[in-house]
Amino acid sequence: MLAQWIARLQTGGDVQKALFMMVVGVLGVFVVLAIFFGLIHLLRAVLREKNS
Amino acid sequence: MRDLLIGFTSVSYKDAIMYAVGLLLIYLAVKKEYEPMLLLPIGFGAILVNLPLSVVWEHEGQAGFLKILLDAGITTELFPLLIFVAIGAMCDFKPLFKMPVMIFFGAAAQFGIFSTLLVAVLLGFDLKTASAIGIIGAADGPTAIYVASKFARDYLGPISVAAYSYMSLVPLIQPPVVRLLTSRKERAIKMEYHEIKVPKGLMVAFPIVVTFVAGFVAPISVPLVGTLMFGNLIRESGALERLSKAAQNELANIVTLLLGITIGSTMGAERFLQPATLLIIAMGLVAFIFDTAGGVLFAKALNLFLKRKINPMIGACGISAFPMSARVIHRMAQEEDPFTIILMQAVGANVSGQVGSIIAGGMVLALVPMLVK
Repeated sequence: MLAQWIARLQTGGDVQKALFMMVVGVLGVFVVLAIFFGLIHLLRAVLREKNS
Repeated sequence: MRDLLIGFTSVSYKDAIMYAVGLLLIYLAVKKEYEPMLLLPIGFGAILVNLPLSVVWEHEGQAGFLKILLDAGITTELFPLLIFVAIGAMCDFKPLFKMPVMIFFGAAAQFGIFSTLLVAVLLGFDLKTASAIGIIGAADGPTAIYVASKFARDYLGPISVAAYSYMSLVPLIQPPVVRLLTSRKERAIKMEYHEIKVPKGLMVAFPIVVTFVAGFVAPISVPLVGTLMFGNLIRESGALERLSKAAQNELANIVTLLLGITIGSTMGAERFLQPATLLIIAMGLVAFIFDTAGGVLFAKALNLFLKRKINPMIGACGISAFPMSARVIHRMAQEEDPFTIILMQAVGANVSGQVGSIIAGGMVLALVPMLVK
């Protein structure tokens, strides 16, 4: 379904593509940084245990 | 006789305009200290390439030294990547590790990239060029150069000049936008800060783990993220002090010098003197404004749900212009109330902006080829 949607976007106009990029881009940055947020907490907890 | 005077007879009015542009950039670098490390070499490169016969670019079928540098350092993306190694070695992520929640401001303030991309498309640029223009909003010169060299090489000059100029103009751009979006009461909000000890293992593990995550989530972003994190690992390992110092000083200085003059060489009169250049420079400003607004509005939105309110100005620090943005915002808070101290939070958000801008660059690099077949 996603592949179909992207295929439709590929044949669509640039404005459609830019809107898609805006939504997916902003969300994507949030998701990746949320992963980093979780990793920092995880590493902080794990490495603190090891230190003590 | 004609050959003797060829230097004078082959100058056009467009070349003269480019000399003025080059001199203006040198003036801004020397007198106003606007990113002098970059703007001075760019300005001089712009003059060199527009001198009669443009021998530094090409002469009698032979590539000149600036074209050789462009092919070797920009076309191959080598110079911006080497700069990332240097930046990584300069980056101290400790403020972020102390307040990990600040990382989300580094995401919110990338809004300017994607909204400007849309504006650029609406103004008639194709998606690739629009993406390269939007990335000016990363407030991160090397990322802008990297993306522009991939998607809009013809506009590398104006995009780089806009990126570096606006980075140095953050103290002028951000305060009015922040004031417009916040009340005095909001700007004076005090935030608690607790000093937390950051384990050394975390400092070493972070660049490695981030590289793996970037490699799996967005493989195309690995050159950007990987080089930054490589530089940071050299710094944080503690075992490579000489290499860390070399990356922060010698490598950074040499590559910056070559990068600047090479970008200047892309500012040939025919290519640079177009209405598109003015539009790009204007949109760079729009990108910085949207970045700032995105961060501040995100912080205000969070405050709707939080008991302990965040000073919304912190959101503006989510851009990559480090540490200028943090300093500007902290100063604004102190102007409202001398007892409002938000420097550590601002620095944390500002460091997050450095990570966020690279991830945003990776997103653009991943999405554009997917949409443009």
